[in-house]
Amino acid sequence: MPHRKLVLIVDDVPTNLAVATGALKELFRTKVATNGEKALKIASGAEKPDLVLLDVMMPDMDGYEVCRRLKANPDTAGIPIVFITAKTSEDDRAKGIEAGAIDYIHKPFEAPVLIERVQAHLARHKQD
Amino acid sequence: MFRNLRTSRKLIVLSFTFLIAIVVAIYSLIAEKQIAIDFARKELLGVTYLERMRGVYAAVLALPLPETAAAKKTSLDDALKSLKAAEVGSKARAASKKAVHTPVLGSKHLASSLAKGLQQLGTDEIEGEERNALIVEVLSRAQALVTQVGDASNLTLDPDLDSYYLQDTAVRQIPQLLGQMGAAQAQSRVSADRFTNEEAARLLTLAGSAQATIDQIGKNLESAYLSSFNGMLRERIAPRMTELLEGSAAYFTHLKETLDNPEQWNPERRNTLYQRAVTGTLTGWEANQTSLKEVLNARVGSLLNKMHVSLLLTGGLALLSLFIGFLTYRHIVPPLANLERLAHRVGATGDYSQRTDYESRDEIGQLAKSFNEMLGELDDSKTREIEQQAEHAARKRISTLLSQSPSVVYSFKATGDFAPTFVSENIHFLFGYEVEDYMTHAEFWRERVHPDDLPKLLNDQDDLFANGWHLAEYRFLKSDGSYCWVSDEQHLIKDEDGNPLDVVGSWSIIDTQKEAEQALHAAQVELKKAAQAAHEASEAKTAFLANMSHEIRTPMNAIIGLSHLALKTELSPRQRDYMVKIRHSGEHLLGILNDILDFSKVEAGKLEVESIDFELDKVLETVGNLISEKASAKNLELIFDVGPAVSKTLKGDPLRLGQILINFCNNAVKFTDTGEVVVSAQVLEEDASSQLIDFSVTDTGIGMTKDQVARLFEAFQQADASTTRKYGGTGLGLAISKRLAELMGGEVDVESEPGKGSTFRFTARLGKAAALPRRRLLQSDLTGRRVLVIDDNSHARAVLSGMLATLGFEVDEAPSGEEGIELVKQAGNGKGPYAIVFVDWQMPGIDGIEAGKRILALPHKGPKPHLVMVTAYGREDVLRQAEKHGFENVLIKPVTSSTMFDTTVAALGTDIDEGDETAPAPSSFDASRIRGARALLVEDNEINQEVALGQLEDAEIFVDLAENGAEAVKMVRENDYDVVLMDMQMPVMDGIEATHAIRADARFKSLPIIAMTANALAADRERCLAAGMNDHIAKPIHPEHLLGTLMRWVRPPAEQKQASRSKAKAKTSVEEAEAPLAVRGIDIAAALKRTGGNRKRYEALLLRFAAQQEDTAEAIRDALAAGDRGTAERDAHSLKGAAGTLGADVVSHAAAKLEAAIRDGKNPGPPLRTLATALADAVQAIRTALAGTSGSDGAGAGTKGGRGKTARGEAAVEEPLKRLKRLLETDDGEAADFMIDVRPDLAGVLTDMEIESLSECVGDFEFEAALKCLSGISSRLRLDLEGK
Repeated sequence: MPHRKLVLIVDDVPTNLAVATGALKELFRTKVATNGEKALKIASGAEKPDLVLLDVMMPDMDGYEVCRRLKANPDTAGIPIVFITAKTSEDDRAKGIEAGAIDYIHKPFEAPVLIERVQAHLARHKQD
Repeated sequence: MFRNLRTSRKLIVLSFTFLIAIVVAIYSLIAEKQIAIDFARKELLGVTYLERMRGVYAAVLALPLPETAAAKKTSLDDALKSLKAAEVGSKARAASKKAVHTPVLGSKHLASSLAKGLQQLGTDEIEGEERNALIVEVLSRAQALVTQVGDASNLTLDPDLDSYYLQDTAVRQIPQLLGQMGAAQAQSRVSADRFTNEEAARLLTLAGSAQATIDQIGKNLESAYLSSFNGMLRERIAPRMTELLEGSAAYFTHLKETLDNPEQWNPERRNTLYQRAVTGTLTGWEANQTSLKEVLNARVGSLLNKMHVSLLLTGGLALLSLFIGFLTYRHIVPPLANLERLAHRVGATGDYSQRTDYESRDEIGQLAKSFNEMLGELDDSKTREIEQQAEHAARKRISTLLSQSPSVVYSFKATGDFAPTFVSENIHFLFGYEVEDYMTHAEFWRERVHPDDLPKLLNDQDDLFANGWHLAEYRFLKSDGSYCWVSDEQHLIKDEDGNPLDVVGSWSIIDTQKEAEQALHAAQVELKKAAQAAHEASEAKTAFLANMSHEIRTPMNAIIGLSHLALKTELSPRQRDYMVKIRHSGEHLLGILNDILDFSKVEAGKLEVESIDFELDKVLETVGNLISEKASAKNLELIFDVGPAVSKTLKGDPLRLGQILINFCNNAVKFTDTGEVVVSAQVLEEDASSQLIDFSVTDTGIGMTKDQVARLFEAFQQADASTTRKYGGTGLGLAISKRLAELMGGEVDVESEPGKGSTFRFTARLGKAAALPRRRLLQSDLTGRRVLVIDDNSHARAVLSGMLATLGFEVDEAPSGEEGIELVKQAGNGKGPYAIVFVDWQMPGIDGIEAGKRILALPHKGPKPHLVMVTAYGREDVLRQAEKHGFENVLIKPVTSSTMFDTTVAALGTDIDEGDETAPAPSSFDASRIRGARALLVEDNEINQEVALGQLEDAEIFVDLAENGAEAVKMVRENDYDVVLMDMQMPVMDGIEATHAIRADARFKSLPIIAMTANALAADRERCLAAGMNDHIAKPIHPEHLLGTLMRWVRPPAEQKQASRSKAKAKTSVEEAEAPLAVRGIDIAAALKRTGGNRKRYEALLLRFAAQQEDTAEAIRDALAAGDRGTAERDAHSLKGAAGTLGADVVSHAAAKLEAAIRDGKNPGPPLRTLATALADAVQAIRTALAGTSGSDGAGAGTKGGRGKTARGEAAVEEPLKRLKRLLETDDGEAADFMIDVRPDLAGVLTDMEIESLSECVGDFEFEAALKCLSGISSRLRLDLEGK
């Protein structure tokens, strides 16, 4: 089913990856990265993800930095980025949006909400 | 001139004048007395003279008597001597007494005349009339002398009456009488001749005058007697005087009579009378003189006394006058001088304030007072003058000041109409009024106070009169019509008697203060509200946390509990994976929650520590159990290093102690990628009852900078708080640890260096508990035995060696397998073989397994050494491998001294058993001797019952079963058994108690009772024997061992019992094993052997085990939740035994850990979870393996498929692995799920380890690692996974 959209999920905690992929895999294809570097590598690879779900707190390179780098790279700048994080304050949200994300989802999330948001962003992005 | 003298001089002159007068008066007084004394003394001189004269008279008066001439001559000589003596004595006296200035009594010529007369009388030439005339002449001369002496010696002038009459008698009358007597006698001596008329007339005249003399003497004496001051005189001299008077009177009377009557003339009689008269008169004279002398002497004495008294008196008076003079001087002169000086000073300085302080009631005092009053008058007048000037100046100044002052000062009368008396001029500047406005309007103030403030002010007016002052703040109307805030302070002025006079007050405008005050008040109210809010918030937080604890735990419990339950149901592999993750996440969350709650307790000061006896080793064991898994997953050495001085049993809070250590260890493991984590405990201080122990956890991790260390123990602080942080955590653990350490009387400390590692340490003061004795029981067995430790990590080696040395072993160390083998080789030839060799599993070069193999392969002269594997990897495959290669036991790191002890005892215990027992050939012993014996098996666990029953039945022994001790005791009493096999831990009544009860009955004193226990320690054996048991069999029970023991104790049974032997024998037929049985995780070979080799029975037992024990973990959990630790422990114990018997070693091991945890009061959660997992796995495996045989539930389709695929071989896994590889390469999220799905298909082709590590990597989304693992697998299986 190649027509299915590809979502890149970046999180350093395996369980989170499992949960997110579990929630999304019925409707989307997923790629996973356990750190920022890997995420950048995948995003700039042959098959670009249609959307990136990005954790904030990660060792070595945090989500904000990953987001900034993706936005800084013309190849990947167009990929919509949604933060999905346990850092729930407004400041954190503002920081995320400032870094170039289009949305900010709190952990723990409910699967239907996540799907809905991802779908919405993908649809909007398509129109854009 | 005297007027000009100073008063002091005047006084001196006065004093001297008086003194002189006194001296003169005294002198004259004394002189007078002296004259009187001299006078009397001169009289005494006269008296003395008269005394001498008595001799003269006596001699002369004797002449007219008819005596011998010689005698007369002699008496005349005596008279002369006497006269001479009188003359000489008077002179001598006069010369010796200065007071008598005239020594002469004027007696010289008369005395010499008398002496001449006496000398003439002494001659015989004169006779007859001539002689008689001479006698008369001499007598008259003597009288003249006496008279002269009396006059010259003042006797005749004697002033006192008594002495006067005495002296008159002595000086005048008596000599006169004597002269008359002598004259009469001398003239009348003519014998027988009649006197001529002339002669007779002369004699008569003489007699008459003599009579007159006598009368005069009598009168004198009477006068003297009367004048005598005490009447003594009469008594003294009266008789002799009477004699004088009567004698002489008688003589003259006789003479007169004979003259008148010549016929009566009798010369004889006359002579006799004469003699008598002379003697009496002389005697009377003597008495007279003596008395006179006494009187005079008395007078002299009295005068002298008076003079002395006068002298003393006047001397005293003089002194007194001097003293009075001095006093007068003192009281007059200085005050006067003082006054004078003061007057002078006042005159000189003009200072009228000076006063004299002299006070007295005399004139000077009055003068001083008047002077002071005068000065006062002068002073007052001057002061008034100055005051008036000053007042004037002050008024001016005050007026100026007041007009400049920010306050208006006013006053009014305090009584009557309260009329205004003063207001300062600045009323104009402050309020815009004129002074007159105030002074003329009585209602000025009342009309201008704000109407709202007035009632209160009037109400408070009483304060002023009650307290003397009053302060009020109110609004006051200014002349421009606006109000301002004033502060009005009033003071009440009173007169001396306390009556109110005036009220003085001041008005200050305080608009600005008032504003500030109102603002401040508002702020304070805000602050109070905020504080209240904060307090409420804090309270709310505490309440919230308490509630949250419950609220969070409830769903948490559901998550953890339900995920656990779900895991026990039939789940697809993927579902199982999800559930495991849910459970782990739940447990993780619970840990965080506990941290937060602990921390809130810290904040609220409610965190408390217990004080109970505990074994430090158990705590460290728990820590090790929790940490070792994580440590070994990261390939870290976890080393426990407990100093030998650290007491094994301590008093404190083992859970909290463990909590700190676990926290430190978790951190250490978290932040360390390579190297080791060393947990150390050392004694710092020790006293009789406690030890201060330093616990430290040292790692070789990333370390920290000083800044990071500084923030470390603050709540919510973490060394790395950035969003890129690598390590999670709440940051509360260390804050809690710090507080806990403090509660344990210690402190925390960190040393760290970035890149090198950290040492977290804390100290805790722990009480020493009474040491349990079990350590020492086997000490003697171990002492001196040689052991070898082979480990590449020097630290780990040192710790093991230390522990072993403490146990009494002689320890050698080897850093590698090769060297270890060499040492074993040498030991065989040298000092004696090693009893135990401890071998680390993972070592560079030859690993532990290989080293063990080679050591066993060495030629050994004596017994081979026991091999003990030491490893941090408590995985089943390691255990199995070790066992396969001859290792008797595996020590899971971290090794605590307790596990070390148990292991060594277990290893050497077999030696001891073998040495003691005489049942060497287990398979070939002759069991026939005990056939038909009757045994009572006391065992509560069904599996164990089955096992034991089977073994006993095989030996053709009749067995009865009792399920607990109480039942056993009853059955022993009712039946006749040859032996009792007694389990130790049972409900209702345990083995020890039951044994006691049985032994209490005399009939069963020698009944063999054999203990069956899972505890292999010598201490347990001791306990059994102490309780009266005969022997002890360790579980799991080997048939050989059981029968050997029975044979030792059971007497050959009676015949009738053997009759039924065949029945039992029938059961012992061994069914052939048609196919090799394999159940994952269960050592079937050993178990089969243990259960007598009966495969069918074994399989049945396995199924029964699966059915019965499936819910045991849940039951234990329920029991624990209900607080019934006894049941929980018993269940765990039973499970341990049953699983061990059936070869389910993993379950048995886990159950043993759980049992220990429950017994030691440690957190049973982790071992329970481990057990539950292991048990579930085992149950699953049993059902899977025996699905066909039993036809019962539990045979999953997936598993069946898995088994089927095993047959198909490598080709079958090629496709899934290919797909997995592709998914991994594309970082596809599907990979994880796919791995879970495909995992059962891989079983049998890939090794367990390969599957395990592959699914771990994939599950953790570590795709690179997974790919590496996969390529390893593919190359082993020679699969080509490239391409489609």
